[in-house]
Amino acid sequence: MNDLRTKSNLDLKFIWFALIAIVLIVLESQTAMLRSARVVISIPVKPLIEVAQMPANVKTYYQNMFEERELLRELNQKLDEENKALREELIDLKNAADVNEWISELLHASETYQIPVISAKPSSIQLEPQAQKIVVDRGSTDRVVLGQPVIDHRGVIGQVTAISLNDSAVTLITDSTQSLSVRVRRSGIKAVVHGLGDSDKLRVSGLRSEQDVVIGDILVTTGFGEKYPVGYPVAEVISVERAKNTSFANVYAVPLAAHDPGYAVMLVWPKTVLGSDEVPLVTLNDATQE
Amino acid sequence: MQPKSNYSALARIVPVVLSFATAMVLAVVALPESISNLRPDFVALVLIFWCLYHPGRVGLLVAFTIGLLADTMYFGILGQHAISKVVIAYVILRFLSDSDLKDRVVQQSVIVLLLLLSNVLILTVISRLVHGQSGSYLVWLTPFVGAMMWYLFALFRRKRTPRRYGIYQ
Repeated sequence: MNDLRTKSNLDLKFIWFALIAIVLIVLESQTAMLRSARVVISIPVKPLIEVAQMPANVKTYYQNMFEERELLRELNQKLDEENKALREELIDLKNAADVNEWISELLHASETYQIPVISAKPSSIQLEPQAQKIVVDRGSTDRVVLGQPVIDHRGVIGQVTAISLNDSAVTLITDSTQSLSVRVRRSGIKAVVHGLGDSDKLRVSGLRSEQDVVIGDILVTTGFGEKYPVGYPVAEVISVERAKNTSFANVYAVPLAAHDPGYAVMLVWPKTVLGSDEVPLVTLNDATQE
Repeated sequence: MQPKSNYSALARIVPVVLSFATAMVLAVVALPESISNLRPDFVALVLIFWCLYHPGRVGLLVAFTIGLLADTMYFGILGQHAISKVVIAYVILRFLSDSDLKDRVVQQSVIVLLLLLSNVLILTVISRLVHGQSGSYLVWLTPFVGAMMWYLFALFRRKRTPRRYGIYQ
């Protein structure tokens, strides 16, 4: 009798918890209501993330210590970091210059174009193995927003998809949920890059067989959807296959900004000065050609 | 089922908290890529352990909370691990609490395998519904790794404490 009551109690509790979980999943997928909840829940989890990073930190520490020319190494690392930061700035500056030029030329307007960025350190922790995701050490306290683009000195890495208090998860462009609008830098042809869940391969769709694309072409962002800033390198074309029976070419590309825990990344706050007008973007891409 | 009087509340809770914390760290700690993709759901394994051996210490609330914490830790969909962990705890506490599994290493491992497979199934279905796609098929291998680990663990445990069964409840 008593046992039966415990069991039906358990049934009831199970139904309740399952319902709560389902409501959470629905809210999470349909609305933005749970963003602050995630930030709160992440507080007790933060120490665990720190602990999980310790083995990698210790490894780097000892590697550095047993290095013979420790000081030289440190200096080298410092300079390297500075160099990277400068190169990242250079991309922004080039872009800003291009945009400025374009605005004054075509719109006869004098608008300053600055892309606010913040640098972040990728953490060594590994999320679900099947997801192409990394964690960086900037969170809601740094005013990171969902969908924020993440780049490094080589090109686009991905976008922020979840934020906790001091960290956020970046879904790489190679994840199979990701796709972004690109343009072939050399010819200005529009295409779409899709992640395949493979860290060094991307599928490029929307290119017809007769269109001008060759191996080695650089694909850059178009800024459509206002998600990514305009003109950032994304990938390099590695294979072009034109089958006779289809009108579209099979094109694959390799991402330029491969994730590497040693590299600092940049979070970008895109300022949409360009809108979604198509014509100026072509001009801009022509302008960014090297 | 009643707690022994010589167990203070703290002594009952600390091992539970520590084991879950360890499992969550193991779930994300950086490993070589070849092993990394095969690591089982350690949180689920720890939950199965507590539900099977010390059902008084964990319940559905603990399973739900741990699942929610795991969801934030992995930056996944909130509620995804919560529901899969609640299902595991419920199945064990509701249907397996009467059966005497404590000595049966092979039966235990089979049950662990089935529970871990259902865990993966729930997680996959949810990410498919939310993201419209699911990850690699490699994830279906992890329950087998987990069951193997459980088998070794249970063997070891049986060898080490042959006469102490019945003391812990």
